[in-house]
Amino acid sequence: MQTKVSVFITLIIVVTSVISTYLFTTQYKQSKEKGRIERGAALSYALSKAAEEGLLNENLDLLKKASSVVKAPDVTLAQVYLSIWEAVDSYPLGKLKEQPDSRAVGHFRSSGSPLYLKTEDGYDFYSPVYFKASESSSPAIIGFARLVLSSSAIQNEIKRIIIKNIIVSVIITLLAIVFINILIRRLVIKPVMTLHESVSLFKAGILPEAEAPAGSSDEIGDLSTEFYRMCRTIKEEEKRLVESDKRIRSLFERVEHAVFRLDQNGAIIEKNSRFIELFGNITWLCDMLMEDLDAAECLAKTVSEKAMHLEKKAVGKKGEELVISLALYPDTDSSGNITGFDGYLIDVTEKKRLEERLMRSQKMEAVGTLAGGMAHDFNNLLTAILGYAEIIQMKSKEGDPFYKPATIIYDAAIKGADLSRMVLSATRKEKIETRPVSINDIVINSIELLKRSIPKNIEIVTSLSDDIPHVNADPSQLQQVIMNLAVNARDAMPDGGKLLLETGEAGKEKNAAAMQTANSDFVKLSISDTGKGISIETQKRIFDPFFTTKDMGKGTGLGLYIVHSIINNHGGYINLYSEPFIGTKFNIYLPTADSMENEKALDAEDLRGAGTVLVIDDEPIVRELCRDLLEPLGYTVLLAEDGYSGIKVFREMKDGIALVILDMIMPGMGGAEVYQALKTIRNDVAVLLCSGYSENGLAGIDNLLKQGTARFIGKPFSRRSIALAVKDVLSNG
Amino acid sequence: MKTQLYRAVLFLILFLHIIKPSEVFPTDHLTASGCSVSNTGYLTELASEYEKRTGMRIYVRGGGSLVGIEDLRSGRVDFAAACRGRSADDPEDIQFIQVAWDALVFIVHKSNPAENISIKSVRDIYSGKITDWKKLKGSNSPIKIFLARHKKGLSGVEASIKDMVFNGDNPAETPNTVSVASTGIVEQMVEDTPGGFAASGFTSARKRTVKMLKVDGVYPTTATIINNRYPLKRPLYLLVPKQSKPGVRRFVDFVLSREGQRFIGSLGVVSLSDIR
Repeated sequence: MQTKVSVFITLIIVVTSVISTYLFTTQYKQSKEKGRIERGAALSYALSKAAEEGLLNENLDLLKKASSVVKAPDVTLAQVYLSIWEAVDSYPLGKLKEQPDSRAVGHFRSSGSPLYLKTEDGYDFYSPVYFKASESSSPAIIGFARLVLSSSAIQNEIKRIIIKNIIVSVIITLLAIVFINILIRRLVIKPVMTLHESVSLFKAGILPEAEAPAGSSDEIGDLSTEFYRMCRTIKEEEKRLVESDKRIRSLFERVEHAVFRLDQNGAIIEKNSRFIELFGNITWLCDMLMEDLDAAECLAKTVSEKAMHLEKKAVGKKGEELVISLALYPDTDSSGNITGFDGYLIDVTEKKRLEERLMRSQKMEAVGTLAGGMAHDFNNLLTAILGYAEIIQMKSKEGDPFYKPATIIYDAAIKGADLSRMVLSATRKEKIETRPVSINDIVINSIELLKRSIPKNIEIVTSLSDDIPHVNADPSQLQQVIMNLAVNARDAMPDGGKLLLETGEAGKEKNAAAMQTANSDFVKLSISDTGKGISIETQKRIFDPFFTTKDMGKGTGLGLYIVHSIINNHGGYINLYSEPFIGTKFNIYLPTADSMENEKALDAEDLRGAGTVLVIDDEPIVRELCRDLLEPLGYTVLLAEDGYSGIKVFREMKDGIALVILDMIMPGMGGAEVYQALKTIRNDVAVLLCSGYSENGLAGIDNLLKQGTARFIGKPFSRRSIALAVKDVLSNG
Repeated sequence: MKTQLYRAVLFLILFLHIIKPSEVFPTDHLTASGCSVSNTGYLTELASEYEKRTGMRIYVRGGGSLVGIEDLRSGRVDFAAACRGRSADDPEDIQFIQVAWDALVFIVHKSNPAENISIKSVRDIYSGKITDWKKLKGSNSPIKIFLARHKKGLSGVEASIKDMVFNGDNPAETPNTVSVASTGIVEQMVEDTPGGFAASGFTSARKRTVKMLKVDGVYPTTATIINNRYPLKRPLYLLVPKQSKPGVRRFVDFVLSREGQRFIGSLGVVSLSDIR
């Protein structure tokens, strides 16, 4: 910059000098010329005057004297002519014969005024020498004085001036350059260098110390101050940005989603730790997807639709199968060009699993509701069939024509009741009667039964843990679970194999830990085979009702469904592991019992009793059956068709009624309400609750059972079971 | 001395004329110019005498016969003087009136030991054959010839040389010839130049501080001119325009009168009556 300014200023000075010198010399030359002309005119006039007398008297001395008047360095010639232009005298004398300019001769032919002529090397002045005899007489030209002034002197002088000007200009220029350099260095370069240092420091990340260099209150000082403020602002902004970035970064890293950014071509350029945790360091997003996906098409679709959402199967870092929900968004710059993509992934594997389970349980719920409803009505029918078949049996003897059909009806009705109960138990609609039992005992008892249905080529192996706690369970249902699973195992091993039954505490196995709820202890029962295994597809549906892989007619499709329901009803879990051609293992987890209760022994065969029994049931056949069953056993049976009439009868009879058999589900007043009403009439009323099915019934019955002297009997019931129940209530009531 | 006094007076008059323009001078005057020989030799003194006698002032100056003729032709003077006769170029309306006699003389520097010169030597000098005074028993120096010579025409002295020395031929100009404006100047040049040589008129030359050479052994004096021993006698003229002022006529009449001639003679000039 210094050089540029110096050159610029030098140029200005030089141009100014040249112009001023030119103007000055022109002016000077003009004024000098003017002066010279005036001087020349004056001198030639003086010469003409001085020469007058010499000419008049033809006196050379006088002429000489006149010539000497004009002796001057710039006078190169002084001549005195006669009127006929003959030179009389000359200075220098050698130029006596120098002829006058023809223009002058011509001029004086017609004029008497002095004349000067500009010649190449100077000025030629001509003045007439007058002789005037008297005032009145006209002056007569008696000769001419000529004076030549050289202009070389002027030119030399101008040359000298120009040279002097050039020298002065050069000196001034040099001085100006030096001065300007000093000035620029002090006023501009030094502060600018300081500023430059500050900029360099700032580039290196160091905030300049001072606001402005000391003593600079000019624009550069302002600039320095502004720069300092700018630096400070930038630093603050940078800090804020860094903090913001840190926050965003930590959010980016901590978020449960796998977040990533892609370049224009779909290559991953940034990913968070969750992403790496899930998929490792992959380069292309499509690499982890199980299905082939055209990446370019995918990205194009994302661009055209502004976003893309996919749910796909993917392979995790360790090769495990994951279900991911992928969201992808295009990034654009300010002019709308695609700069890349960003998006996130959610591992929805577990969610999917839960959804599946939920769906399954909903399905089961639906089937259960259907089946339960059916079973309820079916039970009412069976109650009548069973009861009257028994009555027929009772009233006839073996060999009677009705005895055998009645027996067949009875057996069939029993089977129907069993099936109905199975359906109800499978759909949780049956009241399960649990008590603390030893799972080992149940397994041992089951093996006895299994040996009859399992072929010899299948080895039954048990591995029972001794010190496991009892579980709260219905032994018969658990037995059915074991049986069902064993039968399936048998079917999986048509060529023989090994059936393994194991028991143990759940906490002792790693796999079970995940299945445990926080505060419960579980006992585990595993039943495994060495069969052909179960395919993944089948595994998904294996607990579905009516799902079967067996040949038509061989399976009901309810076996594992019932197993699943029983275990669920017991508050437990079941899962399975299966590998093709290696085998299948079912694990059952059951909650442990709090305390041990002794099993109650049921009383024996004396079914007869006495007392008045009020039967409140909306089903006429059930009411009639109860009377027909109980009256022969010695009871007086009163019948009421609904709650209202039942209560009325009870109020009238009050203490006369020993027991009320109360149906839970009735139109109008329900069993629970009737029970409450009866209790208000007589607090210690003995009630036998009876139901074929009730969805809310289980909870309702539980409450009622807790409140007082009530027992429960499920429909359909046999003569024996109702007799025992009635007797039991009356004896304990 | 007289001349100087006159010049001083003249200068004073001019000076007063310049500084006191209101002062009245005699309005009646005559002006004249021309032949330096006449001017120096007699005319100035004659004019002075004439003024004394008539009160008519006559301003006289030299310049040479040719200047006189030119001045007269252009009307700058009332009459002129000449020391040569009419030449072919001279204007017709000018009358040449002889008023006195003169003689062509050869002058050298006072210090020059040369005394005598022959017509032939004169011719040789002008022709450049003789260039050194030694040959003429003069000083040991080259001869420097001064000559009143004009481009416009013949000066009086030059015309006389042509006629009397070269018998009608023009004298050649040699490298050592210096042409000057008039004979008055020539005489002054010779006064100042030791090796100088020039031809002039007796009437004026006698008044200069120069040495006149004998021609063929005869020294020019009024006597030798009058008695024709000096060979180069010539007339002096006044030139008067045919339509001249009355004052000019009167003056010419005076000059030609007995009084006038006597006065001329008294000046040491050969008057008309001396030769008649």
